[in-house]
Amino acid sequence: MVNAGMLATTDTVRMDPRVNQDLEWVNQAKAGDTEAFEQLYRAHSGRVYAVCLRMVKDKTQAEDLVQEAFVRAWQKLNTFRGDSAFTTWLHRLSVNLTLTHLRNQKRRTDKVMSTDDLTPFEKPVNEKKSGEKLDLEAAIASLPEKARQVFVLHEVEGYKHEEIATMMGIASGTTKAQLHRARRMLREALA
Amino acid sequence: MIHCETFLEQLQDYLDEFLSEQSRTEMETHLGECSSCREELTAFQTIMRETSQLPASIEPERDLWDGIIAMIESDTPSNVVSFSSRSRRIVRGSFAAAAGFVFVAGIAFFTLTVPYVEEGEKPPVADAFEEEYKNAKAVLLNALEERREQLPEDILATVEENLGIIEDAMVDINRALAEHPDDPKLKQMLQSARQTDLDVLQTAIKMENDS
Repeated sequence: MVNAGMLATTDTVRMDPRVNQDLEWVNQAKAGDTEAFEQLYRAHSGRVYAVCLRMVKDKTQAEDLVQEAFVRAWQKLNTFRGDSAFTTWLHRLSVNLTLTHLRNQKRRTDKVMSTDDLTPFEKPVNEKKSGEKLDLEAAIASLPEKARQVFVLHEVEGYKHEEIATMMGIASGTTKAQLHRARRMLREALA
Repeated sequence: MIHCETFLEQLQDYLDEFLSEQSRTEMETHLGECSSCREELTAFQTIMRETSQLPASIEPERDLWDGIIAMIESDTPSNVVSFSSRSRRIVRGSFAAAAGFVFVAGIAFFTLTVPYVEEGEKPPVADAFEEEYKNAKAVLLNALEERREQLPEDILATVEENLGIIEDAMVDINRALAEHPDDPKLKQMLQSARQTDLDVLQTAIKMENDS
């Protein structure tokens, strides 16, 4: 599994030619070279888009978040010291941005809904028609929000529970519970 | 010796290798004896394996670089602008179109054309009014941005929240339109949402002008 959470210590990343190429582009971009930064965008936009899309489930919002992530990366590039691979740094920045976006979106939604008479709008994961088998991406997309976020970050992106808990501002016990819930719902949906 | 109930309770921790050596051995002993639990384990392992094989990279359907470089070159500090990124992009993208409008003390109110569709009539193209909306919004956002320092924080926060709510609504409507592109009611809803969006901005600017 290729994943951000598991990427890579300083020594191992230095040996990867792609990482060295990234570092060269980063250093050029730090000096103001937007063409070098465009190369970083070309190399990494797919991975950033993938995590954004799986987290927010909406192509337009995911595209917005990719743009926002790269603009933020450009602005914060001087804080990147090269202790980890650029892709790890960029990925963490993108995930944090996406989680903040989702939190703000939820806050806005909560504000316009009465909270005492509405149960959470969680679509059941197994909204499949009779005889139809959901594919895995569709089943993940239909998970309840928190369960989906934790599942994507843990199972697809490879972050550890403690890392997810920190990023989401919840207890690691909660992330475990949400992960188990997500797996059980997927098991049911894909049966 | 454990039974199925305990096995299923501990199954997730078994998959994550969080169990003690003793518990793990008990789970594996049970697996050797129970085909139903073996099947359950295999189903979860299959999901986890297939998940790990999902593509790590998905290319966006359109090239996003032009938008990124436009924002970088405009050099807007991210901690200053609090309106949503979508709104900011509309401002930049339509700045030339907006330059002809000048806000002084008075307020030019924008009223969008709301598509009215007669029974049986072919509805207008989905984005026929988008340009009109974007230009109007660009003008209003620029006007509001210029007066940001004079506006109380709570008003700015309220405006931003309202714009966010409307943007979310427009995302939902556009999603529905993607599935039903010819639905006249959805088109009218989209146009109403756009008008509400402009009304929020116009109200905020007017409040500032009235104060």
